[in-house]
Amino acid sequence: MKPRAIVTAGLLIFVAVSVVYLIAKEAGRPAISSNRKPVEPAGSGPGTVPARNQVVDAQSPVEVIVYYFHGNFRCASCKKIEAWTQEAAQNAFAKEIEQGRVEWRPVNIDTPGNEHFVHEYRLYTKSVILAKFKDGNQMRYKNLEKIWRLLHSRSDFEAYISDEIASFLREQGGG
Amino acid sequence: MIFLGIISALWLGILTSLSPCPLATNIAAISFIGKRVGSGRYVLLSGLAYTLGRMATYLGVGVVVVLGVLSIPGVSAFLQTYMNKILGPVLILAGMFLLGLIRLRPAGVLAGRKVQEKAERGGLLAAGLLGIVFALSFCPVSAALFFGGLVPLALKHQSGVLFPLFYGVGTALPVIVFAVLLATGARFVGAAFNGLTQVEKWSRRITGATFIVVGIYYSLAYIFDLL
Repeated sequence: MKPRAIVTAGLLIFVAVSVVYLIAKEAGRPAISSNRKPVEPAGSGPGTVPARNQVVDAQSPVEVIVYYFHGNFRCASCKKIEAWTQEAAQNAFAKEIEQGRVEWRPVNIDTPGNEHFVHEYRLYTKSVILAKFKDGNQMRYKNLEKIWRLLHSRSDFEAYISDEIASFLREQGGG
Repeated sequence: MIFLGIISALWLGILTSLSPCPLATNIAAISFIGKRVGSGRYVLLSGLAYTLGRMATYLGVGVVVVLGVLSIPGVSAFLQTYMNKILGPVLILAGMFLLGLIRLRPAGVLAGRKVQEKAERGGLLAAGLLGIVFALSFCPVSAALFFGGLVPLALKHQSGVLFPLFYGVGTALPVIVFAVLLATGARFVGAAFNGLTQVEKWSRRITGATFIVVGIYYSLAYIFDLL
């Protein structure tokens, strides 16, 4: 068999395997427009978070949840956003995190049960969302959209994140 | 005021194109547009066709979401989920076609000049299609800048047509500039060594190989979740 024929056959096999794998994978996952009820989390492990307006725990001290929503595919900018956001929150609000007033929660929206966040927070890409809670109820949320334009400057990015968290913490009950 | 908005739309497009996320498709587009290094006219026309393809796509998506026909999260999630997955196998097949590993046999035998004209028209059509497919393959940065930056801007200025068009020009501009520079450089090399035909032959091979490598990257990253 000539090298050219081997390369052609190899590539065609790779394409065929990719297509078959893709079809098999997609057949096993819910459609994007699906409005099915999310599987509510049983525990508090990674990727298990409460739905909007749901009473989490009236006794919960949490005031602000800093969400970072991502998918299975992690691009370079997405990893940078996650690392910088986590660092900004942990550096500026170490005390509040320890007290449970601020929580850092990365969430994979491709994990079954987390699709509802796409509709609830109107997510159109990897996003940092701040959610204000009072007595376990979510009062409001904000998509920190400027993150994508601040990727050139770590200090500006982290200042933006910490200013927004501080502003959410100052709010009484959310308005 | 609208002038400032248009400049912003153009700049958002350039920012999208310069971000690391669409780098793989941009490299493929640059090599495809610049592959006929012997013809400056062809490089420019295919660059124009590629830009028109991108403009048409952003216009279509922009109108759909500005008019509220479909929701932004739904459209964005669909395009990011499925287009990038389809892109891998499509690029590998296109690369194999460019390398002559697979062929589409012409229906009849045409005179040399006609064959060349047909190939040129086909090449321009392919550049336009490439623009459409690559624009539809939203990655996190392009989705953020288009749906989070451009669409609100278009809504604010009540211009669902003009702004997506300029955004499309912005996304294609750096690619075309690089392709023209590359083609010009390759022409000089070809002229210096008196072998433009050789340079074109290699340019085509590099384009085909680039498509295959980018296609394998997209398949591994988006279909098999390995990268």
